[in-house]
Amino acid sequence: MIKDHKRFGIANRELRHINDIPNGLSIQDEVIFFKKENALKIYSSRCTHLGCKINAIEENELVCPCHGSRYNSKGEPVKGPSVKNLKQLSFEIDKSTNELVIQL
Amino acid sequence: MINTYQKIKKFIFFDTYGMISLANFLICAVSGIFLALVYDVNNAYDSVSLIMISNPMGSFMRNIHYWSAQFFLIFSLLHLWEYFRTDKPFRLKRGVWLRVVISIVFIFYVMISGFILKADADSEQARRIIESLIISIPFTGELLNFLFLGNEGDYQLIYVHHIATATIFIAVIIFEHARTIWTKLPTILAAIFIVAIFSWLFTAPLHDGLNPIMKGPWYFVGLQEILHWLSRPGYSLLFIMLLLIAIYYFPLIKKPKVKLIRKSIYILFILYFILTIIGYFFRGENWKWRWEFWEASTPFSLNIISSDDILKTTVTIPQALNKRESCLVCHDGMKGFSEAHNPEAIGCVSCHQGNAFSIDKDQAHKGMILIPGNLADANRSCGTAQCHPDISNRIHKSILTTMSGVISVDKYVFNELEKPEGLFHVQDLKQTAADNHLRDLCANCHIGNPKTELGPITQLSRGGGCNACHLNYSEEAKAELESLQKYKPDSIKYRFHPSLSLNITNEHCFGCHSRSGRVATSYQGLHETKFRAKDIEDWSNYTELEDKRVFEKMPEDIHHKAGMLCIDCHTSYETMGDGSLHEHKESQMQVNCKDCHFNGPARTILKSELDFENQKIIEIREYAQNEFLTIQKTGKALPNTFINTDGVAQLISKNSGKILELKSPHSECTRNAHKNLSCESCHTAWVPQCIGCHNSFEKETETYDLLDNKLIKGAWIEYAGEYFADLPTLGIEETNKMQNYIRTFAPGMVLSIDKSEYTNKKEKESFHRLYAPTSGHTTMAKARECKSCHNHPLAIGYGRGKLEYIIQDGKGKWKFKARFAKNKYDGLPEDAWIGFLEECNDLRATRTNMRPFNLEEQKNILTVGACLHCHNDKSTIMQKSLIDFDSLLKQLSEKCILPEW
Repeated sequence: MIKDHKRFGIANRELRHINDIPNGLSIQDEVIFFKKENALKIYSSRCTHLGCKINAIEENELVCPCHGSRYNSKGEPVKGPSVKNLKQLSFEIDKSTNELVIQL
Repeated sequence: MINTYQKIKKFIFFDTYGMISLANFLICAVSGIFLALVYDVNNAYDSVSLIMISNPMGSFMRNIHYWSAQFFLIFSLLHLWEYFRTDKPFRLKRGVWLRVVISIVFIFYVMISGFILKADADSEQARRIIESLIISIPFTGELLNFLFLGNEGDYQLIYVHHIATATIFIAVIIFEHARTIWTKLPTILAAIFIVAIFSWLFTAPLHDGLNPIMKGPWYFVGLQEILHWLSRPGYSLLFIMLLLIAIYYFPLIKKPKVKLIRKSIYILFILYFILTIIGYFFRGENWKWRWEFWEASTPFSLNIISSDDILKTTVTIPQALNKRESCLVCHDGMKGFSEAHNPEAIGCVSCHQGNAFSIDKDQAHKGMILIPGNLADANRSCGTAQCHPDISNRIHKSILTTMSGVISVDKYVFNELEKPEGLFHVQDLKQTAADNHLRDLCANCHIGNPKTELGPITQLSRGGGCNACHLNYSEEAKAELESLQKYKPDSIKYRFHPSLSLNITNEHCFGCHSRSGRVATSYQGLHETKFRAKDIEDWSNYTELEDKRVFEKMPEDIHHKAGMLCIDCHTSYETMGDGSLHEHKESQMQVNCKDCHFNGPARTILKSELDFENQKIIEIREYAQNEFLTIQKTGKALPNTFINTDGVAQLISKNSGKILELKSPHSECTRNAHKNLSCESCHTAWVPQCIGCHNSFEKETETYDLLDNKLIKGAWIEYAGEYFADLPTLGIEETNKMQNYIRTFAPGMVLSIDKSEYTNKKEKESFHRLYAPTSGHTTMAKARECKSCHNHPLAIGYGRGKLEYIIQDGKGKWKFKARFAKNKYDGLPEDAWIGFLEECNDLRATRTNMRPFNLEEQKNILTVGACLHCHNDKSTIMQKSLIDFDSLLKQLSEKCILPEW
């Protein structure tokens, strides 16, 4: 179910192209990007353990600051306490504004 | 003794727990009214930070509110415990008791809602956790969440419940079971006094949004620790529910079981207390263990309200990154920043930490990082999630940080490894002989070596994290720094800040890279000598470095002559790493001569296809081009190269903006015979070489541990032999594709080691003759002559001496007379890599996939050498030989005499 739409600018500037997102894992507000070559996946930054906002990347893993859950770049938990995958979000590029529209 | 204890107890607990709790409730309620006057529910975080920075009385009142609330909670729980521990008959009616038990939930609600209402990073996470827990309640979860917390990001409902609903409910319950809402005057006065003391000494916490440590309020830190162990945290709610039911039924339980339950509750309390201590003092970033008790992140700091003078002259408290920063009140108008690091955009705390919510100097500077950018604290400065987290992750793996190759080779020559291979990190060095040797001689040339003193990067600098490359002082900043070192810091107002930018000069690289392979000095045309300044009379051909080494002037690299910088070739991914660990530096290196000097169509990438980092570089450097050359190894752009409108490949020198044309290689380079030769093999003018090195340990000699940065006893003494600046030796790299690639080598580890004094055992001296792959950085446009390889003993690996082709009685024979005496360990001339026409089977290079020429290859080289003995290298026949040498061998004239072996 689509709860909300959110438009993201990257690093305080207009998102012009998918390449505006850094390679590998990056966190932007409420979402996490994983870009490899030209493939992009977007996850919710909400930890599936207790909903904390994931805000750190260590050793190519996403780390939850509250209880230390770690996820790999596929959004799969690799270290507890979390056991569920991160929620993957669908998105599209709004061609009229060149912005990324993510379904939260 | 008992009397004294009773007196102390009476002094501390001046009334019953219930009454002290009530007194604190009243203080909390009244201070809450004052606080509500300045608290803005729509800009909650901003209003709280403004209270802290610019409203000393408001800040004090906030502390009163905070501390009275904490005492209210503590004494309410103690009051509850009183019911459990006495055997007196239970006086409350069941209905009243039920409401008292429910009020426990409301007490915690009013506490946690207060915690949430400060709206900082801790609060946001706490709210998310509570929301998740409530929603996990079957059937009613969503509804309860809506009733108690409201919509995400909206504090209105929580605020109303905090100041009204829950508070009124608690007040009613207090009145119902205590029959009063007032305490004795001495009790409330004593409570005010204690709360005021705490409020004066300890500021109520507010997260700055940058500290990576996230913790709930102290009373829930134990729960946070429990939740950290639970994959299904919803069970914790069930436990809390059962605990509340148990509390409700406790008065109804008959005597024999009471003691057991009392004990159980007591044990539970002790356990929770221990978990709270663990969570509060021993958990750090990402809930990882932090054993350093003294570094425990206590959120309180001394609060001295002494900021009136500043505030009288301050109109607004500046904002950065959507939050207030008190730093900018005093440190206003500073100049010198690069655009991205302007404090108006990112503030001061992003880099320097400290306390952004205090106008008091000492308090504001507490926990400050004076020199940010060192790798040890990069995750709290340059590498925070909002700034450069991806680079911070990469740089830790860069070989500039790990020194992996240096370590594995050193360990190998100390016989601590079977092969010079494997991944190592300088920070993992212990105290083996090799480790100690590295600590003594090498371990400061890594990016992780912290910069501990203010000032620009000089020839003497080593490491410094991000500063190592990106720090620049303007003349004004240098002058100001000098004044600050002369006078008291407070006597001058800082005006000029050093900048952190892409303005990376050769001087930044110089400190570390003027040693070992010495590429930085070679590039400029400087060759190290063993002279000291006193030995030199005529300085026209010499120069002295800041570390007092004397260098002789030699031909500089052609790229240097053209004005190119190190960063004109070496990209961000080469220097800061590509995110992978590398065993040796050539594995991390990406750029190759052929990326710029190519024949045929250019490999290019469009601007729109660039990766984020290169896009950013191009944006900052304001390059208007649309198509860039790529690095063959990675496919990534060389962001300062492009194809101009005439279709010509060009390079922009990054700092000067000078445009240089990229020339194609000479036709000779691409001919058949030399297709497996690296460009460096022919175009390196000279490489620094050092032979005859001996290392021994002296127990009593004092030295400096370069890794731990301290003086220690016991030094490794390096007895260096002679220094040369000669053409490089050539050798083979066996690539993954099983192809042999000829590249340049220099004596890397030709040394003997006596470690008997280090190990305290009688050990035979060890000796290794390892050449290392080298990249001279002394490129010349003209290639070396054919004879300089085919007829030269140093190039082939025999060392210096006389290599002669002697024709006698119609037979040809190569003879070699070495210049240097035979080494006592292996019988080879001191500067040799291999013996004359020797088949070498042992490891002779600092890499397992590299080696000197084998016998067959030596014969092939010398066969051409025999031709060159008579034929000029520019002759038609020799030019033809570059295309197909084998067919020429079949057409030998009678005069041609090939060597016999």
